[in-house]
Amino acid sequence: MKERKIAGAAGKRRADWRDPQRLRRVAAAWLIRILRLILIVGLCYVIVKPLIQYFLYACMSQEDFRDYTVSMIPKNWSLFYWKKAAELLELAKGAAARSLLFAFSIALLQMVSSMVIGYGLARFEFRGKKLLTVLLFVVMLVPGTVLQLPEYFLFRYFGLGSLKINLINTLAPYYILSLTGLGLKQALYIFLMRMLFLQMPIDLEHAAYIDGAGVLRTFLSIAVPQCKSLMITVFLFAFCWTWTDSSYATAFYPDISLVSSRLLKLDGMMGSSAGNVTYGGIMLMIAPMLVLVVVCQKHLVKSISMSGMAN
Amino acid sequence: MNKPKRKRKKHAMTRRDRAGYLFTLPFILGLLLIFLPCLVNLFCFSFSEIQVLTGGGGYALNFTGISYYRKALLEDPKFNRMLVELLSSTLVQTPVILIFSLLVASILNQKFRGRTLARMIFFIPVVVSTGVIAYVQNNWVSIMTVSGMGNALTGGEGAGLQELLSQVDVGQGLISVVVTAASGLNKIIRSAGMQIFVLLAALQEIPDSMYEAAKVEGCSAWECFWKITIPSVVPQIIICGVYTLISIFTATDTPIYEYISTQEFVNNQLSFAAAMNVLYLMVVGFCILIGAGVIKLAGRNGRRG
Repeated sequence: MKERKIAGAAGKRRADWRDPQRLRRVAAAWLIRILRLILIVGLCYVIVKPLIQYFLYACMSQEDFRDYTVSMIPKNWSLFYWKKAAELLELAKGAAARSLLFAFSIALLQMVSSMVIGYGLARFEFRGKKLLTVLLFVVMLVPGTVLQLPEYFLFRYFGLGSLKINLINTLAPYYILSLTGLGLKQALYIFLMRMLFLQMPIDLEHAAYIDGAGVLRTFLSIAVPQCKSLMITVFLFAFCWTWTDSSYATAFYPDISLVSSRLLKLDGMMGSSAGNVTYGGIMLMIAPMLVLVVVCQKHLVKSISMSGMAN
Repeated sequence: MNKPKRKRKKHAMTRRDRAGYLFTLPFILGLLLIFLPCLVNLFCFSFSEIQVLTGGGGYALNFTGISYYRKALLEDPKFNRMLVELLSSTLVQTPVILIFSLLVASILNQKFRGRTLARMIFFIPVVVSTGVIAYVQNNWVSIMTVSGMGNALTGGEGAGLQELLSQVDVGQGLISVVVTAASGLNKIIRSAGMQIFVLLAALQEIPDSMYEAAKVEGCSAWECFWKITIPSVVPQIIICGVYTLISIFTATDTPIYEYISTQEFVNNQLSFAAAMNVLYLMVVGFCILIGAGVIKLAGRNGRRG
């Protein structure tokens, strides 16, 4: 921004371009611009390159795979590896639909429960709130993976007294964790929601409350519409992190075929002879997330600055 | 603003405030029924042998004392080393990630053509390179390098560069430094995504008038950066620092997590894994507390300076 202003000022006084000081400034501005361009393009290249690479590898035919002269761009384009990857990920056998449904419902659940809990922590002065907030930080600091073993036993023998149900190999454990705010990185969402509600002016809610709207109604009709951007962001995160999660999948429901755990198995199954199937699998997994990022892009920066991380 | 709050605390809670329990009920239940019992259980497991009872009646614990801790710390060949490796890499990575994300955020904050696209691209790693994909990527690259198929097939992260440099005939030491840095860049970008966005949001909040005033007073861009930009984003740098530490320690694609979870769910060494988890938890908690303290202190000094 700065160099643009300098350049603008230089444009106004084009007549004295021979003035060495001004010349030096304009040159510096251009230099900075070029350096910035190089930096941005370079970094974007580093980010995008693997994606392009995987895509191209997955498009190779089997001959290209064995051909050592083919390094990046396939000679014979084919869908062979895509098909193989789709088959091994069991997309057609229901893994795709199941994973999508699972990630979608978990994301929705985590979004709603984080919002409700965050609102409760931000807006009400009840006894024990401080303790609860401290515990939220503790939950955030404790790696979820550390607790997987005791959680496994909890869900293996779920229930009270002699009435025990085995919830392992059902999707129920993760729904329960998400509902209670203990899902993967969910403490972060609660924290963000809490920050957002703390930032929001409370006057409107007070007015609504005085006018006779109940607490729930105030929440639904005033607070919720204001945090749309953050809701979308949380949904995006929750969806992607559930979609790619394999640690909870291998711990709690190893026998249920989800895309993420299939990809993990595919990687182990094929070893070094997997060839380009893995790349196809990665691309197939990434595709829905890329679509979501592009769709939700507008809300991302906005929501983070709104949630008061900026203050 | 503060006064009524203090008053309210002395008096009984209003009916409205009691609704707070209702809103946080799921979290309270989760803490009381899942989180805290599991934390306690983890400690119990690590001090005892777990015996699964036949007939679906659950499991019993036989107290064994600190033998599993001794095993993890003194006998196991890998655990100690992995823990130290993780800590030392964290020590290097955290400041690098913070500086890098501040740099990128301040670039993305400038106005230039294609800014929206650049922002979107920088956001991709935040969601895409997580969980199983990060794991497979790491694993896959290492398989390829080990089996020597690296160059032709993956075009290798560092392989091409290594070849290029060895043709230019620079020293072997320099090659390894450059290659490590280049393949490290990928990792840094991957782990800096979220931080970039938090800092970007913070930078957007700084009013333009501040910079204009400074310029009128004769500040150079360099001085503006140190006197205006840095002090106004100190709180976010603290948040980002803590976030970086947490995300490094909770990542599921680290060798130490993999090792523990293999012991847990594959080798069935439950108590041993529990002991390692407890140790890991203590080290991590300690580090995050220290890290937060250091970053806070540095931030305060930075603000004063």
